[in-house]
Amino acid sequence: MNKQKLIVALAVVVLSVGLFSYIQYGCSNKAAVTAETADKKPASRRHQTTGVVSVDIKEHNGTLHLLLGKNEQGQHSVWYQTSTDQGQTWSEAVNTTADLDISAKFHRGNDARLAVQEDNIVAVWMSRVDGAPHNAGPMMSVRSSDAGQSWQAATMPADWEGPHGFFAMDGNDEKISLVWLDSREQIGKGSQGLRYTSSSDGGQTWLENKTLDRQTCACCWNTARFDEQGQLYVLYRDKLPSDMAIGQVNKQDEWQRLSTVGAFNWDFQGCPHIGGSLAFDESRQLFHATVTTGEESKAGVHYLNSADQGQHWNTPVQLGSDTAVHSDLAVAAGGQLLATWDQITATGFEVVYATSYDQGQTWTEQQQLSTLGIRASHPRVVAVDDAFVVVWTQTNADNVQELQTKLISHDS
Amino acid sequence: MILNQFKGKVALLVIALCFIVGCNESPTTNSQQVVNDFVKGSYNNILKQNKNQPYLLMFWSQDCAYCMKELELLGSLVKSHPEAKLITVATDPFLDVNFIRNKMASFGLQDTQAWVFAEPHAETLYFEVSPRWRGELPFTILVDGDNQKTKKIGMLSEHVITTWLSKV
Repeated sequence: MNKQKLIVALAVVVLSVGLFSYIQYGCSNKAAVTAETADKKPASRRHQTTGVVSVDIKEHNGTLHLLLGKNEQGQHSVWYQTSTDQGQTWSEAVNTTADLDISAKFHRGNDARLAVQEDNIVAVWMSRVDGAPHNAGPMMSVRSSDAGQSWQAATMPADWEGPHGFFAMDGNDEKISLVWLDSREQIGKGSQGLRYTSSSDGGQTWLENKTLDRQTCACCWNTARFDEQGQLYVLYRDKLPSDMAIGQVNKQDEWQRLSTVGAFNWDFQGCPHIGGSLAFDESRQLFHATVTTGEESKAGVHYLNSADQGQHWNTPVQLGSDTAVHSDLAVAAGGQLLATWDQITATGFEVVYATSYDQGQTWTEQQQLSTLGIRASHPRVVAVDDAFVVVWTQTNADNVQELQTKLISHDS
Repeated sequence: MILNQFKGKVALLVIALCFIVGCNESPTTNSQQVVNDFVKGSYNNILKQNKNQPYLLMFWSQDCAYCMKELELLGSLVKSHPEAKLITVATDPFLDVNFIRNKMASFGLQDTQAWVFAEPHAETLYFEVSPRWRGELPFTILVDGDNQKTKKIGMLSEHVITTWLSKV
C-alpha cells in the first residue's frame, strides 16, 4: 500500500514538473506558439501572382499599344496588342518572347515598358536571376520593326550588367529614350541612380549610358514623356527628401533637374514602391502630375500642375483619402483631366477615379471603377479622341490576375 | 490485480517523463526557427500574447535594402540587449521559410519570433496592422510595457531604439 502511495506521489510530482516545464518553456518561449504556429508547412510554398502581372499602355497617332507581362505556372512571357478603335476592340495578342526562354522579374510597380516610334517598337523588363540580391537581373529587351507583327531579342540598352529596374520609355520621330534605376554607383544606403540612354535606330543600338541623378529612391517607378519639342521629361522619386522630382533631357541629351513636384519634405529611409504620373496639355501650356507622399500630415495622392514647363508647381490638391497609393492621369485634347488611383481597404486595393474640367482646380467626387470587394490595383489611363481608356489588374475567383479595361467619356 | 495497478502507475510515469522530454524540445533548442503564418487576426494575437510586456515588431521584405540594414541593426541589438524581445514579419506572401530562417540567422536573429505573410494580398494585412500603412518598408512598431506603441515607417534610427530600450 505504502509502495503504491509512493508511486502515485512520484507520478504527481513528475506531472507537476511536466506542467511547469510546459508553461515555462512551451507557452512563453521566444519563438511563438499559437494556434497558427505549427510549423508543419513545407519549406517552399512559393507564391506567385499569376496571370497578367505587368501592364504598360501607350497612345501613338490614334492607336493604343498594350504590353502585358504574364506569369503562367512560373512561365513568363510578354504580349503585345493594339487597338485602333479607342480600346473597344483589340488585335490578337502577339507573344513577343515566343522564341525566347525568359525569366522575368516584373510585377505591378516594376512593369515591362514599351516605346513606339512609328513601326519601331521596343519593350524592356527586368530579368530574374535566382540567388542574386533580390533575385534581380539585368534588363532584357525585344524589338519590332514591323509595327509589332514580329519580334526579336534586342541589344541591351544598358552598358553595365548589374540589375536594372523601374523603367520608363518614350519615343518620338527622332529617338526612343529609356530611363531606369541601377546601383552601378552606390551613393548612400539603399539608393540607386537614375540612368538614361537613347536610340536613334529603333532600338538596334543605344548611346553610352548617362547618369541623370546619382541618388534616387531604389524602388519607385519612373515616368518619362517627350513633349512636342522633343524634350524628354522624367518624373522620379528623389532622395533626401524622398519627394518626387522632375528633370528634362534636351535634344542634345543634356540633363537638367527642374524642380520638386510636391515639396512635402518626406524624409523616408525605406522603400515606398510608389512613383507618379505626368501628362502634357500642349495647347494650354500646362504640365499635369500626380504624386504620392507618405509624409504623415499629407499622406496620399496629390495632383499638381505647372504653367512653366515644370519649373514651378502649384499647391497640391489631395485626391481621395490617405489610403490612396498608386495613381495615373491623362489629359484630353479639350483639357479635361482624369486621374485614377487605387486605395487600400479591408478587402484589399480598389480602383477609383475623378475628373476635372477646369485644369485641375476642382475635381469631381471619386467614382468607383473596380467592383467592390474584388482586389484591383495599379490603374493606368490614356486619353483618346472621345474617351479615357483606363486599364488595371484585378484578381478573379481563381486568384488569377486579369486585365480590366474601362472607357470613360470625356464628358461623363 | 496489484500487479496490474503497478503496471498502470509505471505507464503513467513513462507518459509523464515523455511529456517532460517533449516539452523541453522547445523551439529554442530546435535547430530550425519556427516561422509562423501571419494572417488576418495574427496582429491582434501578437498584441494579446505580449500584453504588458515590451517588444519590437518589425515588418520587412526580401526586396527592401533598408530592411536588411535594419535587421542588421536589430541583430546587434539582440547581442547587446538579449532581454529585448523582437518579432519579425516578412511581408512577401508565403516567402520560403528556409529563406527566412537563413536570413534571420545571417543577422543573429535565429532565436527571435518570426512570421511570414500568409495571405495572397499583402495590403489586406497592411490595413489590419495600420489603416494608413501603404506597405512602405521597413515598418516597425515599438511597444513598451504599458502597451504604448510607437510606429515608425522607414529605417529606425539608433535614437528611436535607445529611447525604446530605456522603457524596456
